[in-house]
Amino acid sequence: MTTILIAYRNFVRNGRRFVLLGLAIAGGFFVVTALQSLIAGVTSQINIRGARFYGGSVMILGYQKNPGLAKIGDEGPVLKAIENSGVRPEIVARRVLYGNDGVVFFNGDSVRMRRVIGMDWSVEGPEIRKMEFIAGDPNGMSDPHGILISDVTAKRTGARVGDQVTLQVTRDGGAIDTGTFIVKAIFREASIFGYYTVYVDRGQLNLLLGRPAGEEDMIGLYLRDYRQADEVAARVLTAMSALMPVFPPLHNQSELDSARSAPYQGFRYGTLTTMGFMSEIKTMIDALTLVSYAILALLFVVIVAGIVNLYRVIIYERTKELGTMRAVGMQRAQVRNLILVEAFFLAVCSIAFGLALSLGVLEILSLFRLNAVAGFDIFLDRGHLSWVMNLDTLGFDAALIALVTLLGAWSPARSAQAIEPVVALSAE
Amino acid sequence: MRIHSLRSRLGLAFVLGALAALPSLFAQQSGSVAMLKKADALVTFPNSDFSAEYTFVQETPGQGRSTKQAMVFRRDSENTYLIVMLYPIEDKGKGYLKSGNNLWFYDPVSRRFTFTSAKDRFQNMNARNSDFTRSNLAGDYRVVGRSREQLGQYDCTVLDLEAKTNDITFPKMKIWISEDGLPRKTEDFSFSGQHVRTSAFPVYQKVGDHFVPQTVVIVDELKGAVINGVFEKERTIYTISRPSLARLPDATFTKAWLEKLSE
Repeated sequence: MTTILIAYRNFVRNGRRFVLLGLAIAGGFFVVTALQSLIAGVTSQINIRGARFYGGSVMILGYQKNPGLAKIGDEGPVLKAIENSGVRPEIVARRVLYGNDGVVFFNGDSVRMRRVIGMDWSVEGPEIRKMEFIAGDPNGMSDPHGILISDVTAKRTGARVGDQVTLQVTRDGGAIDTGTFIVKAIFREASIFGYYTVYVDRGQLNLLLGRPAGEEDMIGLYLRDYRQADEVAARVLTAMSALMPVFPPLHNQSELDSARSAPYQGFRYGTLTTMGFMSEIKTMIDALTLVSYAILALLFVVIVAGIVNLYRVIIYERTKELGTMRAVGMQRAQVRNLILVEAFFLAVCSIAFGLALSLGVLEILSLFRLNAVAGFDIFLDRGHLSWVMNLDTLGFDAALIALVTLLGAWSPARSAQAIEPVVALSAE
Repeated sequence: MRIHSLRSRLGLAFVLGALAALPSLFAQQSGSVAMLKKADALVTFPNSDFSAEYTFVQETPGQGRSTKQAMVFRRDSENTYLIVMLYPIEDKGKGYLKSGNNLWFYDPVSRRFTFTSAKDRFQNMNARNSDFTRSNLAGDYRVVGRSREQLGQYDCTVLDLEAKTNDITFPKMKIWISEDGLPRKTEDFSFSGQHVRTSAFPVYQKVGDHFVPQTVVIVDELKGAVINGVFEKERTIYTISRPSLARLPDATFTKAWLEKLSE
């Protein structure tokens, strides 16, 4: 305890000696923390919004070889497999997804949809409601004739909340069908998830496509923590393999395409995560994460070199002081610990300062609306920069920096403990 | 007892009436089918090839007109066609090749063939890829209603049609057939009965023993714009010129020929 108090007193009194190195550590920690928080924010945004777009963090996909349809068929065994897997998703969503052939007409204008989503509002409503709505009340989707359109579609067709729009699709056989829907709300979404997406009632979409009302193309699992998606996908697949024919584990769209084109009879099932559908984005996020760790590694080098040099100077300057301490009875180990505790204080203060700087800068950045920047909207939460500070990542980084600081101080501390009081006191 | 007897008599009268009407209904039905068959026969070329130059004028309210030209080659006996774009210059060499149920689109820039669908719009106009294939009204549709109507100078029979199979682009159709057996107007409906487009064939030109429309007007019932307070529908007018029934080389209906044309 005495050692800690003395170290604290030394650290406070000789603070100026530590300022430069402290600022370097704080700056490095700020950069790493801010970058990782932004990456976590982007990852979170993409996963959450991707889940709304794809129908869950984990998708259970079924394919019928002939005539080559995405179709779950008998959902009983699939639901049983989910139960058997021990996974407890927040929402089990059934969806019908209609590709890039749907057209929304209003008042003579038309917009071709990239995706027409048939969903059950009573089930997915709580999740879909979290989207950014710029007009209307999404709860109106409890009306099966309701439709949610994007702000881009609304702008291009001139449709407003309460207007009746026509949705044209092609039935499974090839015949054109149309249905009229009332715009219940208009949402704003990033380009890849929303510009050309509409949400309608699953039963109504099935009716338009000439399918039984209760049919679904896929079953999606919304999870409390999207980071568990890979594990959940693997567990559900294992459980499904006991009940039905399954594809090998799928990690991305191209693996899914290969699995589908392989010869098989009847139905095959598989699981894929949201990020599996967005492997390009995942690659980009992985690259950014690597960059953040490269910066962290560089920071370690700076810390070690800085600490070693700083303490060599400090110990040279404090030779007499340390000799006196030894002369009045301080043990060698206590001298070593004194230096290490001082270094620890340096690490803690620098980390705290770097963290405060990160929080401040990220908070200020997130005040600005950035959705005017083309192509940037995918990373934003309602137009603002999104960041997430994961405590586990933060704690890991902080612990590593503290450890590296102590490692850097170790050698000078060993030199300090070797100082002989007589030699030290006689030194000029 | 009296009421019961009255009901029995009425029921019997209804059944007898219905039975009496049956031959007339059958006759009408078969007459309608015969009309469709005749219409098909007049505008289809089962014994020869067909080629012609098509000029399309697309009128988009508020955006003006655009013109495209294409050469169309048909061999109805094999249910195949080849279309190559001639104008505008940026579309020159693009083409469509239909062979049986397969339809490919060729892009000379990428030199690639991609599958496309008969129900897709032709060159983003109001005509569909399926409009260039042989007419098979009698095979594709059953007659569910019949009436008479004067359509301009033509005294027409109007037939309400429903697709026999679920792979027909427009599952419901109304067709006006003039007394000479030629279709003069069609209204296409979606499965749920929404009026999707109207086509008019006001004038035909005779080619051999058959007929080819001189001009076709296709009005999109869902697309348009309000101009000066009036809703104007988008439409495509195409004229068919230089029709020929001359025999075409077999190689005409191949991918290689389409590639060669665009070189």
